[in-house]
Amino acid sequence: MKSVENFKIILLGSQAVGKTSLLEKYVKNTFTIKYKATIGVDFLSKCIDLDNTKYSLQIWDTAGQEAFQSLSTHFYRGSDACVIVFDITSSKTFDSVSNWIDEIQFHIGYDRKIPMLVIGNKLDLNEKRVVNSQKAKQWCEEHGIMYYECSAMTGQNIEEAFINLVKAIDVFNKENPRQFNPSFHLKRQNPKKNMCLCKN
Amino acid sequence: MDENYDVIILGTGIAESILSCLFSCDGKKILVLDQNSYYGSESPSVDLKLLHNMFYAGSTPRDKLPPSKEWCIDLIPKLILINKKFFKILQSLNRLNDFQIYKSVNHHYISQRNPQPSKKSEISPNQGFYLQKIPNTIETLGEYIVNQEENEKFKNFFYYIQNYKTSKQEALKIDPERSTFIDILKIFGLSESGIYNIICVFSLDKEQCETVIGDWALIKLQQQLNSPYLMPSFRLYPNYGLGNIIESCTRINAIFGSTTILSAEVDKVIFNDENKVIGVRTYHGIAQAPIVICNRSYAPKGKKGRLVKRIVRSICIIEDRDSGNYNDSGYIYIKGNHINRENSIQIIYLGASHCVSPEGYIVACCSTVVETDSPEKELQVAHDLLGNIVNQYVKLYEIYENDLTLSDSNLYVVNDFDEIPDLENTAEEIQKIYEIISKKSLFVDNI
Repeated sequence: MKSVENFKIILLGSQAVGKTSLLEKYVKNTFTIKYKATIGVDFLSKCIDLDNTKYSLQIWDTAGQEAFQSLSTHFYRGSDACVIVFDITSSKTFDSVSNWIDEIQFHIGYDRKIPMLVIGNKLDLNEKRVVNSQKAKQWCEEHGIMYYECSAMTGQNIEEAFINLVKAIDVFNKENPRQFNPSFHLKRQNPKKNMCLCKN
Repeated sequence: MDENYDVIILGTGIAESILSCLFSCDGKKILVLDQNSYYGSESPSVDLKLLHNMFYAGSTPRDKLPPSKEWCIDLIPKLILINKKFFKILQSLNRLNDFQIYKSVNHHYISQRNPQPSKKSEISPNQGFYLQKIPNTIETLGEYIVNQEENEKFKNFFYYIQNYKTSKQEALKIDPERSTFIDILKIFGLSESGIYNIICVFSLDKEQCETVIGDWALIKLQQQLNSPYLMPSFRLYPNYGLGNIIESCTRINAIFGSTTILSAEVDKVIFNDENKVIGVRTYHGIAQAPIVICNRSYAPKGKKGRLVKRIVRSICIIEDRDSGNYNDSGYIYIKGNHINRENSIQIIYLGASHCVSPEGYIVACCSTVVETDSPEKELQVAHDLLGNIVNQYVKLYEIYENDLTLSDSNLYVVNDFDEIPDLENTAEEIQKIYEIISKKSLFVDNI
């Protein structure tokens, strides 16, 4: 029997770097060029199969809350990994990556570590690039963070980035086993089961 | 900021947050502002560092305590009673329950006057009272039944409730429109302590027991008995504290397109010539809305309500080896007349199983209405019970009361949290404000 692993992954980054686009491209394979500040997106689920294990990824969007710095600890709580997105055509968004890492550490506690992935988005606009790829990669390596450059428009590299993140989470969780904490939901009819849309 | 909203909410306490969530779900455009950099206003869930800073600014908590982020301490913890109003409001917010996990609070103690400590009780020395453990579930009720005869009576009673309104009941000749709950219990021949235990299990108050119960109330008891939520306890507490409910609400708000701004520099609520609310002025501009809901700290002078009482609360961090297991949460009620006071003292203690503290520690909150000039001493009785207190934070609260029906200016001021350890008054208030503003009933079935 295959086992199913549930992971919560949170998506962070400055405004308009393409978090929601990236998420929608990855999960639904759709892309819209028009920018709309995120309203209504909560999280999207995606199931993947890797080495005989099913992974159900619950990827949480910020719901636009980053605009007013009103993201709460609740958003970060229980996450298995963070994806920080920046825009390769804007150096400001890359500079803010370290702020986001600070923010994550503040909310999960400075003594805790979780796997992180930095994505440089908008690779399709490579000719307008201002963030040096080599530099960004080096910075991430120094901080022990995975680095990928993707395009939410073409879908380039997204799949690969997430698969490698899942592998990293798996390794990380084996080294730092999670504690089981029994509890119950107010909602009765197995809410967790409906979240994973994959058919066996 | 310079925009029009349907409702502006100032403060992120539990009542404000739930209201904002209810309105957002209705499709209203909401702006939530809070002066603080954290959620929760008067009743946030904070980590140890923030808690320590709130009471002793500039200093750090003791070194030997575990890291700050493992704590989630409610400044004002409250319990949720199953199948009561607040519980129903939470249930109606379906999206909220995707995020939020609740766990039962397992123990319930009540003070009894010394002497005659029975076998089942835990005696506290040097006091005029001892603590009696009382059942809070049908399962645990079994432990309190003394003999076989009583056991049969209990069975008969529960059988009666469970099958109320079905054909087999005719022989008993109980008329619910004429008898009180206690009368019914007496028909089954239950002893005084048996009656008391059943009242505890159903968490009924004195009034409910002593007035005519009526058909409807019995059906409700039946539902309660057959409800899946009955287990394992009547009292729930959310994981990571009430603050987690507040933060979940904020997320739902964001999902529905409402805006929440922390560390907002709110100047004042502004009114027009007819003394009606037109918006809120901040140091960044004016946000307009025909309705403003706020807590007392944002209310303009003359609209803060009247001072009704003062409450002292202490948060105690206790070292306890057993924390982290099933037994680390509970509720203790010390009757005022057992300790020569007018008002009772309530203690809520929570631990690692509710993600409130790291394993090995328990956080207890003692509260009572202030009666003397040295409020801290009034809680001494409770502190003596708790044992090994590592850190202690005492705070005085002034409780103001407002009459919502008088708010003809469309400014609704949410009342302060009182000393009662559940959220039923808050739920009442939420319902009232919601129904006045949206002109429809909060509950469809009106139960």
